[in-house]
Amino acid sequence: MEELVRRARAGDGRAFVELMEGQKSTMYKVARSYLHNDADAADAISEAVLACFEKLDTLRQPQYFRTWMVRILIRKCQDMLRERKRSVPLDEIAEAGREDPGHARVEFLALLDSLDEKYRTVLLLYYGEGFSVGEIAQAMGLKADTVKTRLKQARAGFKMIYEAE
Amino acid sequence: MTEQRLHEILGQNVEAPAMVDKKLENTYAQLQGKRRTAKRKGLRPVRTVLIAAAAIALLCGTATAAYQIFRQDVAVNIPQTVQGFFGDSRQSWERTEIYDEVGHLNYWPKREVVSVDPEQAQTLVGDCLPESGYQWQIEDYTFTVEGYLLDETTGTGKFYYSVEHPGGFPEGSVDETGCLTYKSRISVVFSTKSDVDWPWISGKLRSVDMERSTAEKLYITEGGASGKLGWKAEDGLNVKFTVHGETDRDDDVLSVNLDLPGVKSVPVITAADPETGELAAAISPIAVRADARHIIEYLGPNRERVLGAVYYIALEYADGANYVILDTGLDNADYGMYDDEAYVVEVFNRLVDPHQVTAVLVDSQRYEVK
Repeated sequence: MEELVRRARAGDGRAFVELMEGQKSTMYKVARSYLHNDADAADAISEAVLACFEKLDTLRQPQYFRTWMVRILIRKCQDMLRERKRSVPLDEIAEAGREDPGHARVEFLALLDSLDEKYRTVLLLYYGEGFSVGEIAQAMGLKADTVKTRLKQARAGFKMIYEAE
Repeated sequence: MTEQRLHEILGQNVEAPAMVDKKLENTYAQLQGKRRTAKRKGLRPVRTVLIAAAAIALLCGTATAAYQIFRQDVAVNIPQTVQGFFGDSRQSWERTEIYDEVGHLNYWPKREVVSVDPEQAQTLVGDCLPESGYQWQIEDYTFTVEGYLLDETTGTGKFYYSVEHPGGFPEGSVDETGCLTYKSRISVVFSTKSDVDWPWISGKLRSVDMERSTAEKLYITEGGASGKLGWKAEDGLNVKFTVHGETDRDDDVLSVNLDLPGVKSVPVITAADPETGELAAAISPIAVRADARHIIEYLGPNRERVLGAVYYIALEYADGANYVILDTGLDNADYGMYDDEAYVVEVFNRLVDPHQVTAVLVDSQRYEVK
């Protein structure tokens, strides 16, 4: 990935596309952890890709590309939530009916919906994407202690559910 | 739900839906073939040098194979610049709901514009404007930064620039609300040169000056906020000017990094919480930053912080008038956001004389300006 970042920074458009395509699943999962429909997630991802392209020069250390990219995407998602909602998908249910979402996406979205909103993205980045506490803190603009607290509280919730089962 | 199961489900590769792929396809098409630095036949962005127009002509006449982009000072019409920043040459609109070409419902809250007194503007912000406009010739695009105002206390900026292109711009470059769209293929990104984590002073709306613009030259106003304080107006700005290509030819598009000099930060008036003495609000001619920590909820035994939303923001003036910045169905800001400290930041869509402001209202919170 670092090699792709270097090539993209040097002007290789194909390397940039390959770089972003390699992160598409991560971007979709992160966007859905903030936004409640695929249309908004698609918009946020598209805007984040454009922003990454424009700002790639400012990424000082290519090894932190994922954290940097996720941070940009999170900001775009937060902007969309902050903007007094300018676009509403007309018929997302009908659109979803035209394609088979696949078991993985159904399972993922079902789990996401079941998670408390304030833990959702932290859990995704930690358990799903392998981010460290420090990387999550940087990506989400939180203090590391806050990230640790959220993970701890989320785990406590799972333990209760597991023991109840 | 065990941690292991959580890891299995969240960690699996989830295929994005078709609409994400389609959207990305369009995005890549905009970027396809584009080089991140201008390398067309020796065209390279270099450190900009401010030189006189006569010297530019001389150098062009004796140019080598390397073509360089130079910034030159240009005289600007201050009243027109001020009108562009603050006045009613931008479009107002009523609360609107329109379906776009892909079936999405687009909603715009009401937006009002008001006229500006050029003399008042000169008094309030005249010495915070740069000394001249700055212009670059980038292939057949002429990019001119007509003016900019920076507010390091609220972390905001207002920018007024023009882009001229013989033959005009693609269809749909300006939408029904008089704003520049992605179809223009133009992107302008401002960032501070201060050494901070998040340097971009970015916004969302790019309002077109409907009175001054022509088919081949668009004048655009943009307000932005960085969400983080600590940068200095005197450090200057970077501006990234990008034209996304319409074909996949290598020589069809361009992206260049340009420099703008530092300016004086606009004056600010502050209001303090009478009980704690903490900053409650800071008001400048271009923006307000106000305490919105009342929307924070602290949940659970560890007082976990969760943010809600602000629904109403307004300024009250000494003469009894008010400026409603945000309300249900109304948005009179160029840009709004919550910064990292849960203060709400709003970039005005008009000129404000902070000395006339007697109170800042954020929902039910009232901050008196003494």
